[in-house]
Amino acid sequence: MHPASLQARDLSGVWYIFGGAALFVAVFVYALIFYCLARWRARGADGGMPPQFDRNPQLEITGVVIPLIIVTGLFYITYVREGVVDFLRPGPYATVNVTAYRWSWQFRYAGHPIVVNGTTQNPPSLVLPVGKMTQINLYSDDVVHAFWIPAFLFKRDANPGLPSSFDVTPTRVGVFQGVCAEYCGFDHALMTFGVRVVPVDVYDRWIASGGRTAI
Amino acid sequence: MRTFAGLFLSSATFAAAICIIYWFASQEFAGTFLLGFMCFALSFAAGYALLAERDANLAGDDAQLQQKEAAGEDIGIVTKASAWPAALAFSILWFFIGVVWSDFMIFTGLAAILLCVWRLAAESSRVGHERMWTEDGPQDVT
Amino acid sequence: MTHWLTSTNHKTIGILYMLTTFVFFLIAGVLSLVIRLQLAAPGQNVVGAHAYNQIFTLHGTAMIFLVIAPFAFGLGNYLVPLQIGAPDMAYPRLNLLGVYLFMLSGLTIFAGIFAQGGAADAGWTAYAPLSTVQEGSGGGQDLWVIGILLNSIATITVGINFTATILLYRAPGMTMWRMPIFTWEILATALLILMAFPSLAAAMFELLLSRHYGAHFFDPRFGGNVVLYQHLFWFFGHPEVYVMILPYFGVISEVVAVFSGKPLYGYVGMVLSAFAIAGLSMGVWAHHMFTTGAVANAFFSGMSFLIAVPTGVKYWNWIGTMWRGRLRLTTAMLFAIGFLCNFLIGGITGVMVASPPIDYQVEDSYFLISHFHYTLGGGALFAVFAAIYYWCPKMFGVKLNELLGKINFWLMFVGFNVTFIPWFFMGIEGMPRRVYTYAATGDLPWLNAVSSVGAGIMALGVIAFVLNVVMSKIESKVAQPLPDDPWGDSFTLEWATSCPPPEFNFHALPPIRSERPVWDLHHPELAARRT
Repeated sequence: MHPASLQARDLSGVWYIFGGAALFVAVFVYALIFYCLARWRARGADGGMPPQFDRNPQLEITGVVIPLIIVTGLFYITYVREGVVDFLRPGPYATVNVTAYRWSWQFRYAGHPIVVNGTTQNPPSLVLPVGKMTQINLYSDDVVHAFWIPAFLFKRDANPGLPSSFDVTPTRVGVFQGVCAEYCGFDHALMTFGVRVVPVDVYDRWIASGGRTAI
Repeated sequence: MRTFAGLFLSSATFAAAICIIYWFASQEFAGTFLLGFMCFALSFAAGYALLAERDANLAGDDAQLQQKEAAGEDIGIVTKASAWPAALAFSILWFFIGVVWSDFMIFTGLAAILLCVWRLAAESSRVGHERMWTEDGPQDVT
Repeated sequence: MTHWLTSTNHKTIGILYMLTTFVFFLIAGVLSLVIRLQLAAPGQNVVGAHAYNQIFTLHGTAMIFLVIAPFAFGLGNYLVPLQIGAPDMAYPRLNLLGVYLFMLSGLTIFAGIFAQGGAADAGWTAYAPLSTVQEGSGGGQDLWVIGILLNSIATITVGINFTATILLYRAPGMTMWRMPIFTWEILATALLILMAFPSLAAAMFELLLSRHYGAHFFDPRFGGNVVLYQHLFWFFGHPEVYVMILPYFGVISEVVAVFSGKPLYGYVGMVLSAFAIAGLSMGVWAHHMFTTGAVANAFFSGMSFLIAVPTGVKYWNWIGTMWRGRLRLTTAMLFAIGFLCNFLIGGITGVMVASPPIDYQVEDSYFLISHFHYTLGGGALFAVFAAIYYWCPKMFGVKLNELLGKINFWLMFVGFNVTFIPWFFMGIEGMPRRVYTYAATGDLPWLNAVSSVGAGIMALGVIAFVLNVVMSKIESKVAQPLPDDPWGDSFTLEWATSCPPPEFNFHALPPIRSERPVWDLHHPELAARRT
């Protein structure tokens, strides 16, 4: 993955740890299964009943304790990282009020008279300054939507009547895709938006011009 | 019966524990209520198994019981064929369609449901078969 | 014919459940093929948006409410009385009511296709307020809600019946700790049903009241709360997925043990883990709501991680059962091993999504739906086929053809993995779920194309199965009648009676002194050493 924000970097760390643990467990279990198949597959009329053992309390307890230790470790990592990501930091450089509606997005740049309304034919672009923290306040006008920027490894649901806030600090200049990630009816598939991360001075000029300079 | 009561009791204890932990973790009412009600319902079932069915000597609970020793024990009355469950199912559908579309169907649906329940109750004594354990296993005796 | 319409016999009802679910499986499967055809390339118009939205709604609804869960209820209906030595279920007429309500629920949901505005199109989860707005699908969505209500009542009757039957109707000597593992898993399932389904019924009632009687449970403009619907729905929804997997854990345990020639390893652990999973599953529901920002993520995440532990116990024990056994690779055993391979991926990715930091990326994306298709499609569905191949001789006196069975298995196994492995990558790349098309960016086009080819391969596997059924039925006209125990060296009581069993189930019950009474009957010298 190519994280494009500070939070995404934190989140990608979790991905690597979990991915590693997943690979380890999968390889271990598949190895055991295939070993059984290779070694003890019934061939022809080879006689005899296999040994009828069916329990080993110590082995079984081990089979409980080891996974318990693994998931405890995974939970600890989760808990710490999530706390970092969910925490709403004070003093954002910019604040954007995002309203989701069927089937596009509205971006209102707080403190400035810039309002961008999108349509499915003309998806809106969210402009963010690189290296600076932007707070997003998320609203919905009608049904449940979700604001997802895959490059930031993050999404948040837009629940009508329940505003939600989070902050993002992009780390790379570029254009990224955003989509709606909660099924909201007919044109849910077309409810996309763009994310343009620009250098800070470009951003400041864009804001000062009321969103009119080319970026 | 004791294993059964134990099952419900341990489930109820677990439900109580997570209900309390959940409330402190979230202060969220809907989930706490659902977990709490679940604890209550499980306790009720456990209590019933322990108290009301204390003297139930189930053939299945006796580890050493032989078929012939259990012979003669009554299992209960069973109806082998009936048109009323189907009628009840259709009545319930009718009722719910009425809830959405038609007051007339609500009332006729409720009436039909009550009729089916009445006939189902009456049916047992008329066409029910009495079932018992015998030496060879469960059999109908009437 | 009237026999099939009015008989309260558990075997008749069980077969009625299973046959009906198979019909819905074929329908839901065709719907999924249409979806994969539409998504094989970006920007297609095989079906328009409105049709597509109905299709995925009906596909999910049918697979969950009309296929995977009720097949298990039918299988349990057939097997549980046999496995505990009982003559029938505790409440035979309630049983018949349940199967009728189930069949009517399926017809009602699909009748929405003929409604003005078409069938339900709010997804199988029908989130409010999407499902309470009246425009677009009106009648179809109402029929869906009614259908789900009927289905929940049917399922609750099933839960009541299994609980009472297992409690009251065990044969002499069949103590609870001698019951077959499949019966134990059904008991855990029944408990889950009783705890979870009332919440669904409540959610559906509230939807009906909101849609037609001016209620505002979920409308924030009048003091309602959208997240409340999600709490009620998922309080049911999460246990529901365990209702859909526990019986199949039981199937796998039975099949793996018999075809390894060894008793189930860690029987006590298997029972305790079933109940641990059932209990824990009641406390994890809002892991479906991590991205709302409105629930206690840490609580739900921790509880969800815990479920991996009893599931791990099961895997440990299945491997222990195969260890040093004599593995007969019949079709049923192949499907069981396919289950072990597929469900492992589903389970591991489940642990991943239990972590909110990961879930923030993959919730409502193709990664997530791959996770649950691995557990339900690669897991439960494979166990359905294992059960069919294993118990078909018992139920119908006919063994399905083993060669066609192996073709069926390999086509499904390869097809399944080719279909669903790309989804993990599609999800990470940013493809959300429930979309009728997608942008031609990155790897999405070719990943989708590969996935669609896989779906076609799976379909061939299902066709092989249907051919197998037809051919085996034709062959059976001239075949020898089967012995009581056609697989040889089976363990549990259903193999102590004829194929198929008589109306009363048993002409004579063997003595029950362990959890393998039929095996004890065939090996008296070894049985004498156990209690």
